[in-house]
Amino acid sequence: METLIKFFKQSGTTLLFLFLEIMALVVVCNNLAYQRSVFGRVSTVLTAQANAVTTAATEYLGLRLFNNQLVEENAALKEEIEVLREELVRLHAAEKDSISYEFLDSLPHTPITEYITAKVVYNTINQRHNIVIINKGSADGVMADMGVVNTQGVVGVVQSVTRHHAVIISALNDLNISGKFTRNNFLTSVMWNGKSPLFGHVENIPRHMAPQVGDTITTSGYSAIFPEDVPIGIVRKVTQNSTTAEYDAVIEWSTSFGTLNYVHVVNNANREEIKQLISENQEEEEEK
Amino acid sequence: MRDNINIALRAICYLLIQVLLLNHIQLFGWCGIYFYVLFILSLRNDIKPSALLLIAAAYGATLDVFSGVYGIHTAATVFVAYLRPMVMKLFVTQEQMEKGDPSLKEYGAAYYYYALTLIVVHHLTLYLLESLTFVNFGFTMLKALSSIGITALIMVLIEKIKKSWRKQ
Repeated sequence: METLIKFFKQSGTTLLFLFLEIMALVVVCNNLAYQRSVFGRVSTVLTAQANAVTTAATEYLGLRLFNNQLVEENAALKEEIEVLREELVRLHAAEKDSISYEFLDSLPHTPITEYITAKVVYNTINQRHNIVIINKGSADGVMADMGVVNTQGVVGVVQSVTRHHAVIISALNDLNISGKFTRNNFLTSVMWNGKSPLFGHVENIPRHMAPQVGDTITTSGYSAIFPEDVPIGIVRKVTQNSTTAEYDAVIEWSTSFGTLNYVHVVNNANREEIKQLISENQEEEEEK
Repeated sequence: MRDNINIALRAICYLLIQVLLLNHIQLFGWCGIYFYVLFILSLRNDIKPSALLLIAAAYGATLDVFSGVYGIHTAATVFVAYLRPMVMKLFVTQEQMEKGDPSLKEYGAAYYYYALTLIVVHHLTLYLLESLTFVNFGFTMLKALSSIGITALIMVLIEKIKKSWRKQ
């Protein structure tokens, strides 16, 4: 017994060190990858409020850039209005010809995809697992697993929400975004390897696909997380694997993650339905 | 008592600068600045090693919560606090230690060796834990080395300023 007490007295510091270090490492391991961005509710609010101070101070610095983005978006919207107007004219013409009012009325009126606009209050790009926190939460209709985009392209997926804030796993994380090559609609998955926040990666593209520098990759729209045709990036470099002859491509993100300011959370009205269908299907397969 | 308040105030200053300012700065887009560890290096010598560990754990945990990563800063800071007395013994003589608390003024060049060793330990632990993989090991090391350089630079600046103030 005495020797035990003596041992504790002598190596108390080392034991305390080991205890604290192991505690810290357990916390690190429990917060790997996806779980890492699941904040405790308290700390999300704390972090958001602490960062609101810096955001308030730096908001004005980005105004010029943000203004340009707004102008671009305005232009795109105007274009869309023109297209829709033409469509309307065509429909009116068609109405006079053969399409019945009943048919036109039966078309869905409510848009499938709605956007919730939110301001970024916290954003990292230099970690291995980056997250974004926005100032809209469950009170505004934001829910976990919703996609997030901005005017440039995809941003990430909502991980967890509190009442007035939401944590987003940015594309600069362990996120696989389902995308397609616009040139031939070839489906693929875009990843990030943790190096530069400017570039993403597409791996194991089959030989017959032969990706080219300059190819555009957009979202596929198959997952109900992102709508179709949101830009992901542009192929900047293509390398061929010498053993499998498959291609790997480096893509430049369309989104500049360093200057995120306002983002749009995608609320797909059919999201729950599609998710349910997918999970039912998986259960059935497991039963088999 | 007054000393304790002094330490607490200094901790809050370091944390505020780190969380509100430096966490938002990434040099070249990938090089973070983690100068907050200098607080552990500058603590008084008469603090017991076990108390040092607890202070370091609380300090690191606070930073973790505000940085949005869990455990990484705590692990690195506690490790530094544990090694501090040993590194101190390695570079600083007993006489110097009795003369005063860690600073360039008291220890001279030995302070640089002491501080630089601990900064290197801290940053390597931090970056290895953050990546948790040896993929892209070279790039992780490059990031760690440039961060070490910047933190060391800040350390030298702070010490020089402290030294010139005390002279006046």
